[in-house]
Amino acid sequence: MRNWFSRLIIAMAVATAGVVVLLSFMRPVAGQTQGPAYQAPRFAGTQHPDLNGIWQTLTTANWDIEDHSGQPGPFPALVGAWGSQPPGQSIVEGGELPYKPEALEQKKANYAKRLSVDPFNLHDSGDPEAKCYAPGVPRGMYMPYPFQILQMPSKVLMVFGYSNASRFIQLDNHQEAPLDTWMGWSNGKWEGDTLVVDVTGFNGHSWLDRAGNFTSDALHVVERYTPTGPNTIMYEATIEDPKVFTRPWKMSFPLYRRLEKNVQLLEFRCVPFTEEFLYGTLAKPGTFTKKRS
Amino acid sequence: MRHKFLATIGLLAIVSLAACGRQAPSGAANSTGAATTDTSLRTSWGDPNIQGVWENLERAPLERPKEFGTKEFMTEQEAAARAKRTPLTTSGTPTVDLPAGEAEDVIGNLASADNARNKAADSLPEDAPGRRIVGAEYNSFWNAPLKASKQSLRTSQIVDPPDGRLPPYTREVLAMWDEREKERLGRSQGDSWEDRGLGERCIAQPVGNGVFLGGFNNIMQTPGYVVIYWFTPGDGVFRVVPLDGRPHVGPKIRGWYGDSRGRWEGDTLVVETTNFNSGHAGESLPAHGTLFGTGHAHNYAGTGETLKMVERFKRVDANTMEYRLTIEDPKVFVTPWTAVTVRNRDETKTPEYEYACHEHNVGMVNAIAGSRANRKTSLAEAERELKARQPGIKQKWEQLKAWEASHQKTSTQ
Repeated sequence: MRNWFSRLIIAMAVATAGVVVLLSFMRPVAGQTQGPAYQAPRFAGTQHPDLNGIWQTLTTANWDIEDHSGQPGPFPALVGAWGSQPPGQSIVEGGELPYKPEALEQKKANYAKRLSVDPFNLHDSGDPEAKCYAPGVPRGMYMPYPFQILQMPSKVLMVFGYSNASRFIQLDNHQEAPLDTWMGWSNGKWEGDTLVVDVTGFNGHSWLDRAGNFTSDALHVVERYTPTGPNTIMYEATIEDPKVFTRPWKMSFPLYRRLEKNVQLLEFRCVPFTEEFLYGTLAKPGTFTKKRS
Repeated sequence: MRHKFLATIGLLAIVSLAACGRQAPSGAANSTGAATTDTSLRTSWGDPNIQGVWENLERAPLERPKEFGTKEFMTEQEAAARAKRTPLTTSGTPTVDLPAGEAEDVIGNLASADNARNKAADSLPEDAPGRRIVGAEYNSFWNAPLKASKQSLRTSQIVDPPDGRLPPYTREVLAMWDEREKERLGRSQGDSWEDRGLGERCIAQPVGNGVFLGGFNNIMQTPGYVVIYWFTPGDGVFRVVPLDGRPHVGPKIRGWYGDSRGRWEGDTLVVETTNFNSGHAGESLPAHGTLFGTGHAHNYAGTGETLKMVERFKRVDANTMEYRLTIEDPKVFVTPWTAVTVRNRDETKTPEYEYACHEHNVGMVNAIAGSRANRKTSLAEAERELKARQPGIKQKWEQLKAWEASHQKTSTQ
């Protein structure tokens, strides 16, 4: 009886010591951006992590990917604090974007005219988000709305509620971008537990945020998706765009899994919210915005 | 007798299942063994595998021409005779006989009318005012003869009601359309975006996953979800369908494509969709397109909010899927109705390109600017289309009144 009891005590002590040793290994080392390798669950029938889920960033990068203070929205006299800009820290490695001088001027002009659209030059006037355009890459990844990853053995589909945007990441069918698009052409591969995605074929009309930061049709993005826990993915992207920036630069932020019970992607079709904004100056006065039925 | 002619086409299993009007066991017996359910097709996590690109090449008309009565299938001779009469075009599924003496095939009429107008537009002198559009070139896509497809011998896609025709619209819908036509008086084709249909506005395509419009489905699966991507000549639409048996979202959440829930019944995927918004009827006043079921429709004519849509995706063999759609919408149709189409797997298609409809909708700018620049012509064209719709709407009123009369008679007996 006593023998049994002391054996139990010893076993518990050994187990506790083991856990303590294990925990000391798992504690992140100061200054290290990622913890030691987390072993994500595998996708059915494959050796690769399962990234399925509804994910969302918590950054304020969609307002400005660089450091930014709290600011009033564009129409404070009309809507008070609604639409104001929340403060946030840069998601850009090193803090600031390495613009070419002429591109920096373009960024400033973009910001000044972010809410002006010319119906005969729709693609290159105003913030694409205000026009309900597909957000592009990387902006789509840090819009303040959820998106869903739907993983398959040969490809990964990302569906964004906002503006019905989507991305296919081809794991097998690697090819050169066959045409220029808003969300680009994505070739992906697994490097260990990291999904590495090479994105090209951009049409050059996308912005990076509401602050007028932008990219051109020479944009080349390399993304890395690394699961760092059951409910987090570290997103890292290297941005190369020799028409706009003096050198490649990096951004990173975590994506968080949406955990609410029965959470699902909801339709956020913003096109009808933009028609007066886009075409209002062309239309015959008094022939629109009459809600029917 | 029926089996004799069916055996000569490659869709035997589907057709004979449908002809029985009920679900038969997998691999329903047929003498040739041409098409059987391949039950070995499973995903790596054990679900039935219905993934792939499925093209809707079904060109049976949605509604059954009256000459066939309650006959669901035609003979090959009848099919050959019909094929000779009217070449089918890209622009959609022929729907129904036009009333008021117009010939039966709506698409054929439209194609020739379009071609005549486009030819006239192209013959304008170079210095004519306005923006020049090479109409015949642009529209020739829609009027191009359809590529040869696997053709079923169905006389109509609608299999219920048994006459193969849409049930009557309700009084509510027809009154709304009358009201809409009154509101259209004095409006041009493009005074504002509200004169264009929802599809042209890149807001939504008619509900029904291609039964009304064709196009194809790219079906993808991951554990717990089926993704149904519908790629139409007008837009690309993703529906992410959970399979975990969760309830629908609350009634205050509404969308253009509703809220879908899926489940497996054997190897058949059953998707039930509710929570549609009212916009399919209420938020457009299109100059172009008719009331659905009377010709060249561009909109689903319904309130949508009471719509329940049930779809059944059944893989019949490696390359064939039967798609069965039931529309139940008491505010719109007096009874539910069901349509069946056949979809063919097509691995040569690469639908995984981006469909950015709204982002490239320069057509909207041109429609409004063009209408404003030449409002007289635009008003005249809008009026022509409005007049062309009148017989169809009148016919729908008559259909409803006849139904009401017979319904009353039945219920008082």
